[in-house]
Amino acid sequence: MTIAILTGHPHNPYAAAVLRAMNAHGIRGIHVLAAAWNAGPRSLTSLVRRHGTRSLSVGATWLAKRLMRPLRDIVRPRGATSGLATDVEQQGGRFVQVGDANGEECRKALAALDVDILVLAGAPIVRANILAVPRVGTLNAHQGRLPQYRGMNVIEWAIFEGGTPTVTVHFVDCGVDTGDIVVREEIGIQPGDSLQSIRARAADKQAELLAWAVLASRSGPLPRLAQRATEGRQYYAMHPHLRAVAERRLAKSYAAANGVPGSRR
Amino acid sequence: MGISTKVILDSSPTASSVAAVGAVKRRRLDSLRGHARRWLPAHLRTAFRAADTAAHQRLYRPPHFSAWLCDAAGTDGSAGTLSDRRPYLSALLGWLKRAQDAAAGAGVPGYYAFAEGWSAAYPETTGYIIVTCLEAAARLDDPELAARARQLSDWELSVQMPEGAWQSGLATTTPVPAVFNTGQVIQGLLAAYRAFGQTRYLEAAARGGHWLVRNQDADGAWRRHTYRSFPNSYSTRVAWPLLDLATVTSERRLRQSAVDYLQWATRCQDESGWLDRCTLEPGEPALTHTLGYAMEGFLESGVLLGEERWVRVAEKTAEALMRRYEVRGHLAGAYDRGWRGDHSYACMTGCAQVALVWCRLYQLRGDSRYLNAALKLNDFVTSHIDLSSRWLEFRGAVKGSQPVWGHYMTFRLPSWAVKFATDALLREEQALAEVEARR
Repeated sequence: MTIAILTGHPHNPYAAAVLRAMNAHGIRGIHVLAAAWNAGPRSLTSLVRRHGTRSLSVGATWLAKRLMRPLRDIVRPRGATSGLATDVEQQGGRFVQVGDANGEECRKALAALDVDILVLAGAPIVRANILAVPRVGTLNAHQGRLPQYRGMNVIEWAIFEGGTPTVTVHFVDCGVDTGDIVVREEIGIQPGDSLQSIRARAADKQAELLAWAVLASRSGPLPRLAQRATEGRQYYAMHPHLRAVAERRLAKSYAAANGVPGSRR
Repeated sequence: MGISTKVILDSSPTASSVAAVGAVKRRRLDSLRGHARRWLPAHLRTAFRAADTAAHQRLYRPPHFSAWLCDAAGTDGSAGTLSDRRPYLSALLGWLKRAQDAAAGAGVPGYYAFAEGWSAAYPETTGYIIVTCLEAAARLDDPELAARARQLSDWELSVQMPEGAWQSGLATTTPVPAVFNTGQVIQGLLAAYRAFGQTRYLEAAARGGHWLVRNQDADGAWRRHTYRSFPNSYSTRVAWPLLDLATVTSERRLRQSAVDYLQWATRCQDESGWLDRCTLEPGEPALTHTLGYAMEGFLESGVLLGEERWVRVAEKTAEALMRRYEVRGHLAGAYDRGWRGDHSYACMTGCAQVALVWCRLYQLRGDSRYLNAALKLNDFVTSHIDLSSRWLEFRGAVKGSQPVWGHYMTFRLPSWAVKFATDALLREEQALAEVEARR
């Protein structure tokens, strides 16, 4: 079974953590496709529409970064000396850099590698052309309980609303966090926890659950719990004031949930 | 409200001769502009237009130039943070007080325009500014605001038309009765009646309400006495005061009239939450300002009637806007059918109104996402309010558009933008108190 990880940046630490977790489970020969993070404007019109009077400074910054890239690559050559690339090659996989995670180059690279399972690790939202390539499917780990908490900052939102921080591994479809659920696991709250420390533990749990799912897929089809589109809510970036409230609620609720270990469901 | 952009400013009876001379001068200037545009080479026309606009908007005046320059450079005013929203409230209310003083005992001017200075008083917006003054007076313990609200209410009584309606446009224009404007004044007078207990306010509001019922069509829409006889879907903000009036007077026909309109307006909503006819001009994209009116009208009518279905109509549009705002990080000035936004500017009044509706939805539904979006949008509005400008017209003002040359109320500081920004901050304060209480 061929496994590939798709990440949005050639030095993504989360992708490296997912790779390490899989290796620790004895899964080797994993390929990594790293897209170049390109947050630049798609056109001059879109730049002006989005940034209005700030277009000039935004455009100049973006251009300066683009021009600096070749110089940076001289200092830090792509591929071999990068930590992630070295790790990939050492465990028998291939490290491939592509321009755009949703582009034709990426699709062709995945097809050439004959991928069965694609694992997303710090990748942007992936479109149907990429999702159609892997034979078994594409897996993602989400820092929230699905289907209840879709979208962004869902650890914070769960704590804000009195829920339990949870990590969910799911198949990826064309929606945002709407694919079939494979496994969910709660993140226990520990003494002295902050939002940041819970997020860090959630990232470790995500890597671990992805490795578990990939391993399980080798011995048979993965469990799939379908989500209904009407279930759950789409959350967005949390305002700093509400984040502060969530932090206070966490400190308050920790006494009640002190040291409760996570339970897999 | 937006239709003030269409009113004629020079028909003051006290200054008719001056106005006539002004009109002749303006015609001559327009003629000269036309000639210049025709004869100038193409590459000079843009420069001419820019110079012409700068002269017309009096950008040679330091406060005007400074406001233009800030927007051109893309710099915000003072940064708004939640911990210090009170100074913004004080500044906004200070602006409203100064505006009222500029109208010399009449109502509140419609706006401060770069080109003409303070406009005449505007009955429609003065109506709903009474509500804001009374609310702020109670919440901020400012008796001066209550006294001012009483003055404004008395002024509204003095400009009520014999048939019971209030006029469209500024007080200096030839009075023409208007449905929307009447609804907003009724709301102000009801608030005054509740605050001061004087029946004359209620009687005047009731006469306005009866006039609204008389001028409603059989299908529930208002076509007569609307701009260009266009039946719009944002007059839910007329239905709301009418329902409120019905609860005070216990008149069934008032209630029925409001419900008939709500039913008609609901048919304007499609599956995506888009509201057809929610525009000032037929066929134009819907300003967030008019969408805000429509949502608030549906929402508060639903609350008054205790009927969930009207709240759901408001929520559908509010959720569609929230999704777009959160994904884009910016609320467009206007949206057309299919929710394609004009992101070249932000309608500041609309931003404040939408934030107000989101805060209210949080209070009703307990869905924190609405409050979250409202906080961000209020941050945006407050970040463009200058708290310390040495020019008093600009201190605490809210621009019609951001940037100031945007499509809505171009180069103007509307009083209703200040009103809705105040309402949004007061509502936010209340919602945040509920967040703390819900722990």
